Order: sequence, then structure tokens, then C-alpha cells
Amino acid sequence: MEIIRDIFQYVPLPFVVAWYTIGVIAAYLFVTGIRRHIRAWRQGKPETISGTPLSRLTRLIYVGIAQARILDKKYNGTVHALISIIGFLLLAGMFFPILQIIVGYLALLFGAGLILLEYKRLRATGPSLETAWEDSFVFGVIVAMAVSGFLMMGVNTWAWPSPAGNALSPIFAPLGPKVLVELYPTLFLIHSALVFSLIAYIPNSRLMHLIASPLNTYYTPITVKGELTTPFDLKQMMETGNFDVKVGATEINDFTWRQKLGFDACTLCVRCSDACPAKASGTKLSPMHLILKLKNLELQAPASGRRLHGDVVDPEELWACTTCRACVQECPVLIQHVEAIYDMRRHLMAEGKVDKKKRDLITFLANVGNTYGLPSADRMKWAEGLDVKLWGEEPNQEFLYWVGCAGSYDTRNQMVSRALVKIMKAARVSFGVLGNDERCNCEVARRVGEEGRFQQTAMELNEMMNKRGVKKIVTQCPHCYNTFKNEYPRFGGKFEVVHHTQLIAKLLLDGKLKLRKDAEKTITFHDPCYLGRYNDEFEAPRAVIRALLPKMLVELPRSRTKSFCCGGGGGNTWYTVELTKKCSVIRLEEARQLAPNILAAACPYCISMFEDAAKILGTSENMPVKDIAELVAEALE
Amino acid sequence: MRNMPNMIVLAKQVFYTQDLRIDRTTKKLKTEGVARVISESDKNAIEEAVRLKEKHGGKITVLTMGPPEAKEALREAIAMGADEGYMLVGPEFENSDAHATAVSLAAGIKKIGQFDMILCGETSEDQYSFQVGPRTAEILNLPQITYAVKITLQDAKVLVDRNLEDCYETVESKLPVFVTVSREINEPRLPTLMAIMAASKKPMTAWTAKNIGLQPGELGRQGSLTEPVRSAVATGERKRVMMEGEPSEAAEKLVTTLVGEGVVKVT
Repeated sequence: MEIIRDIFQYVPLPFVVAWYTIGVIAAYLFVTGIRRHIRAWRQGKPETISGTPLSRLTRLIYVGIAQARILDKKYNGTVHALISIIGFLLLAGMFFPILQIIVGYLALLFGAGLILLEYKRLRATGPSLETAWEDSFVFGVIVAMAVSGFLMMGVNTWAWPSPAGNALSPIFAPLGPKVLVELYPTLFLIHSALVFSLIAYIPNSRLMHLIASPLNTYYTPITVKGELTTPFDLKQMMETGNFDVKVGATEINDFTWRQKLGFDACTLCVRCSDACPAKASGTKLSPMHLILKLKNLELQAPASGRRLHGDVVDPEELWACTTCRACVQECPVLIQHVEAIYDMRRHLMAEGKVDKKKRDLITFLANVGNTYGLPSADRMKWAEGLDVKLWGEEPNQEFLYWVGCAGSYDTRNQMVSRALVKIMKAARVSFGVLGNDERCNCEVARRVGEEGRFQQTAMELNEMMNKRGVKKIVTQCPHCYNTFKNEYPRFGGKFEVVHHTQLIAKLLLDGKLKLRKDAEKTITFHDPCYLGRYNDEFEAPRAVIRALLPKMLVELPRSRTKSFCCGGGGGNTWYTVELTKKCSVIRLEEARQLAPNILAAACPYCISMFEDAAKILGTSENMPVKDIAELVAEALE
Repeated sequence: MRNMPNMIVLAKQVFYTQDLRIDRTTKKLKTEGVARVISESDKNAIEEAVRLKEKHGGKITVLTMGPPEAKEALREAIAMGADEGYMLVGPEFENSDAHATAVSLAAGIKKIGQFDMILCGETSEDQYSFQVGPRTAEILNLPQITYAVKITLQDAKVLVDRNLEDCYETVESKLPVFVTVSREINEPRLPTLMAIMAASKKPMTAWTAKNIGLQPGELGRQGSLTEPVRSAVATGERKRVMMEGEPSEAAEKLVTTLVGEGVVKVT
């Protein structure tokens, strides 16, 4: 049986002509608008997208169509997912008669969903949801579209059978067939005109996300989260002698076409800015606004060469970023905010336009191999009296214990180093340290944009560690962990890298450690950004805490992927950022609400930040900050 | 406004002083593994030259005297914005005091040729003699302005602000002129590693004593007027004096003590 639907039945020729005219104009506006965007994207640098088409398509279905990322907000997320799926089906209903059967029901759900969300938006319950007259206008048009659709269906229930139409038709029936036949074409045209105008409006409004967002979700590369992009290959440049590379982004077309598509994909949902610790602490950075500035720039003048820094982006916004990745994690359309920030930081560093503290940081790394500027000969002072063997001093050493700059020089973190040594010795783990041969792996140099220094250090350290037979590395710093695990392989070093909480968890599992169970204390754990969000390791520290059997392991309101950054990453520890309230203070206040006995951490930056905040808030006595290793070392029998 | 000044910058490579240690038995510096860097106020001199070039155009030539490792210093200077580098290298230059150094540098400058301005740091971080700049200027018979904290180039003259400890003066000189700079004059830019590596492609030339027309007797230990006789490690005990009493009392005691020690002057 052939399903036919003559949509022009009862529509006289003038109306059909008008329908096609409006449709063609709308289609023209839509197409030219989209082409303008595509042209703008293509002016960006070339990029080959990594990740197979199939894996990206799967991700598109999961993130783009099922909208998995927004489902954490039960109300908004579910309703938005429903109405967007239904919206597309309704549109498809125009072309596929088979959908006709359910269009009526869908339209009702669509209208209901819209009203639910608009209600929420007008009440503006979100902290920073930005609404403008444009949003109300769009909502108004969509509502008018839905209402005119219901009226149309009410008048012509034969062509458009639907529950809404059936419900409305008794209102119209008394008018009599002659009036209805005259009324119908007008309603049909009005409804169609509203649909067409919305379509034409898409390229010029935030509705552009209907096109750009799925595209961006498909074209965002599949990469390792913890690895930055590599803007140049230092080794190759040294070999060829060709250093003619523009480093970093100074104007909009220094970004790739995929990055520009990403800026365009922003739906203004504000999830990124709501999650951003730099924004919460009152710095100039707001991830969404940064992306929108870039988005506006490319639409205004794609080839103008207008400079980013100073004109459009304030360098302070870029430096305020702690690189915690909360924004990228939250974004439902997979925009890569932090990647853009790195590109712009790289330019500032290449020009040398950075303040004294940042210059000092790089100078210290270059001259003494640590971030503190302390004497290179003092690197092993933390181990005095501990009988720590050097790598190679004993046969059959399993782990290289990478102490890190903080573990070596920071008096607070030296306590963690000593605790970890105690644990490894108790469990008879055979390890060695590089001693004075250890120098900063320059992860932080890469984060502030000094890519060359990072690459050279990576090559040198990899060569040294390979030559000396290093296979496994254990470290107490998630930043060191991340860079060795995810970034160093590209530069010639592939090691099995373990964070100390992972090692301790494994030792406990294997029964190699005997702990006194302390049943009395409650502990809350702060997930470090570079261990949790970047490397998906949430369970190991929790397994260790549970092994200590506190009365309760209480979860912070923002934990795991939602963890709120301590504020120390991205180089922020080493320079001054203007803010109103430190991230660490915000986080400690959050922890204090739970009134735990101990705030547990697993990163030298976090501990350093929290110790400062504890002094400010006066919580050092009733809620001390402890590293996981310290808790275990104290509990060793 | 004068265009295109020809500038020569003298820069010395020293050990990174913060990382130096003294072997207490031999009284010698432990330099193994210590980074070599451009002496701080020489960096200021390079930076000042680059800023003048950014404003007025011109050319910057860097001259250094040191071991082969000093080539790094030339690369870094070029990465900051200099155009070319020369180094005086060879065993004949070793163990030069301030005089012999000045003689060597002056000969190097003569070989480089034409210049409008010579810049260098007020002193080097290792010897702290403050003499090499003034001595070199004398040998070359140039007007010299030392301890510069601001340099303004106008047509055929310079206006230089000097920060002397108890006064501040502005000095005018015609060109060519020799200026030594203080650390307050500017914040030197930081070239990236990539920029330093890229600088390898710019011209860098090494000269021996013969190249610059000097005899062995004029250089090194032979050419020096002074000679280090003895080195001692400075030791000091902290006085550990505690000022007791109420804050206002203690503060008064502290002020009296400081005035007594001559650390603070009360006018």
C-alpha cells in the first residue's frame, strides 16, 4: 500500500506559489548563511582529524544525539534531549510520510517540552545563564509555530490526523466546511512561513548550534586527554635547521578549521563557565565568553587579521586558567577551550611578553632544573637519614621513584616523600631515585607555553632513563604522572607510569601492607584534576581510604569528574593571578560543610594550596590536610 | 630623530651564581653542573639595545670574551634581538683581570669597526669589579656614562639618566658614546628555547688574539695589572638579639640599635 500525502490539498495555487516563494527565499538565506560559516571555518589552518570515522560517529550518537553530557541535570537535560530529538523528527516528518502518523503526538510533546524549558529559563535559576531578547524571540516564534500547527491540524484533521488536531476540531467544526476550506490555506501558510523563517534564521543566531554542534561533535579529534597538541617538532627542526614556524595563535585564522567550527558550535549553555574555578574565584576568565569572543571574531571579519591579544582577548584571561579541564568536561558539544588557551599562551611566550614571575619560572627550570630556583645540589636533602637508594645502586630495582620538584624541595611535600618511602620499604618494593640527576620534567613549562624547553627536556630525560634501564615510574604528583604517561611517549620514552595512590592500592590488594584500621575518623577526598578528570583515576585513592576504614568516606558535593580545582595547575602556583577569592578557599569551605576529620589529597599542588587556605580559614586543627601516603604511613603497623 | 644606530653590546657569560657552591676545604668554587648564563646587567644592556633598535632601527653586534661555551651567550643575545655575534676565545685570554679584559675587548671593538654606541652591564656577577666598562671606554677614548637607568637617543646625541646612590643626574653626550647600564633600566625579555636554537643560523665569529692584533704580553695573566693572591670563605654569625617588651618599647629599642650600628640614618 502506497502512503501518499498531498500536502497541497485544499491549498489554492496562489498559496502554493507563496509557499514555494517563501520556502525558496528561506532556503537561500539558510544556505548562504551556512556557507558563510563554512567559508570562515575553512580559513583556519588545516587539520587531519584523529580518530576513526566510526568511533567519532559513535561518539556523535552518544554525545550529540543522546546528549549524554547534559543528562546530569535531570530536568533540563532530559527535556532538552527529548525536544531536540523530537524537533528533528518533526522536520523529517515533512519529507517522510511514514512519520506522519506520529507527528501529531510528537508535536504535543514538543510543545510541552518547550514550555517546561522556557519556564525554567525565565525563572533564571542557573547562576549565570545569560538570556537575551533574542532567546525570547526565538521561543516566541517556535511557540507560534507550534500553535499555528495545532490550529492547522484542528482545521484539517483529514490531512493531519493528530490528538491535538482532534481535540481542537470541535472548535472549528461549527464554522462549516466552506469557511474551513478558506481558513486552512492561511493557517497552512502561516505555519510553514514560521518554520521557514526559523530555518532561515538558524545561521545568524544561537540556533546555529543545530548545525555546528553535531558537526563539531563529529570532528573533534579523539585524543588522549592529558596530552597537549604538539605545535612543532623540535627534533626535526634541529635536524633540518628550519625554525621557520609560527608558534601559537595571534589571530583567528591561526586556529584550525576544526577549532573555528568548535567556537561556532557554542550553544551558550554556560555549563563551562559555571564549572570554571578561575571564574568562581573572580578572575577575568570565563570560558564561555572567551569562546564567544573567538566566535564573534571569525564571523565579523574572517580574513581581517585582527590580533587576538589585547584587542579581543586579555592575556590575564589566558593566564588565569588552571587547565583543570572542567569546561571541556562539561561542554555538551565538545568544544576544546583549554586547547585554544594553550595556543594563545604559546604566542605570548614566544614573544617574551610575560611577567617577571613567569620568566623566572622558565629561567629556574633552565638553570637549576626545578621550579623553585633552589640549588640543584640540594635535590636529595629530603632523603637525609632515610637510606634511599639511587637508581642502579641495587640490582633488580622495580620502580624509579620520581620524587618531583615539590617532593624534593617543598618542606610540606617532603613529608609526603618520606611517607611514601616508608610505605614502599614496608611493602618491600624495590625502588631507586635519580638523586641529583633528577630534574624537572618541564610539564609546567609546556603548560605556560614554552614548548621548546619542554620538548628538549623530554628528549633528554627519556634518553637518560632509557639508557639507565628505567621501565616503571612511580610518582606522587599527578602532573608528573600525566606527563610521563601521556606526553613523554611522543618524545621517545614509553614507561609504565603509576601514581602513588595506584601503587598503594595495589599493595593493599596484594596484602603487602598491614594497616591499623582507624574506625573513628571521617575523611573526604579531593580528586586532583590531573589524576581524576584527565586520567579517569577515581577509585585507587578511594580504595586506599576505605582500607583505612574510616567511619565514613564522605564525598564532596563536587567530586570525581566534577571536582573543583585547587587553583594550582596551569602554572598558576608560580605567578600571581588577580582574583577575589582563592579556589582553594572556596574548596575548603565546601569541604568544611561536611565537617570531616581529615581532608585527603593526592597532589603536591593541592596540598600546598589547601595548607594556605587552611591558614586563611583557620581549619588546620579541626580539618587537617593530609596526603593519602601520609595517612597510610601513619597507619602502618 | 637619528635613524639606524650601530650598537655594540659587550656581554659576559658567567656561572649561574645562585647554584654555585664553595668547597670549604679547597676554597674553590664547585662549578660542575652549574648552568652558564649571561651576566644579569649585560642582559639589561642587550635588552636596552634591542629596545633602541625597535624604536630607531639599526644594528646590534654582541661581543664576548670567554671559553668556547660562551657561544651560548651569543646565541641567547641574538635570540633576544641582536644581529650578529663575535667571541674572543682561546687560552691566551684566560686569567685576564679587568685591565687585560678591557685591552682585549677594545681591540675586538676596533676590529668590528664603526659604531655609534657601546653598551654593557655596569658590572659582571662574578668579579663585581665595575671596571671593565670604564677601562674599555678609556682605551677607546670614548665619552662614558655609567650606571644608566634610562637612555634616550636623539639625532646625534644621547641623554642618559644615572642613578647614583644619593643623587640622580641626566647627562648628555654626543655620539659615539660608551654607556654602562644598571639592572633597573629594564626587564630583559626571555627568549624561548626555540628562538635560541634558531639563532644558531645567524652569523657568529670566533677571534683569537692574533685576529685582533694583540701580542701575548698584552693579554691573560701576563697582561694583567693585578693578580688574585688569596681567596677566603666569608663566614658570619648571626647576632640573634631579641628585643623584649611591649611592641612600642621593643620598636624603640630596635631603632636605637639600628642607628647605633649605622644601618639606619636619622635626619
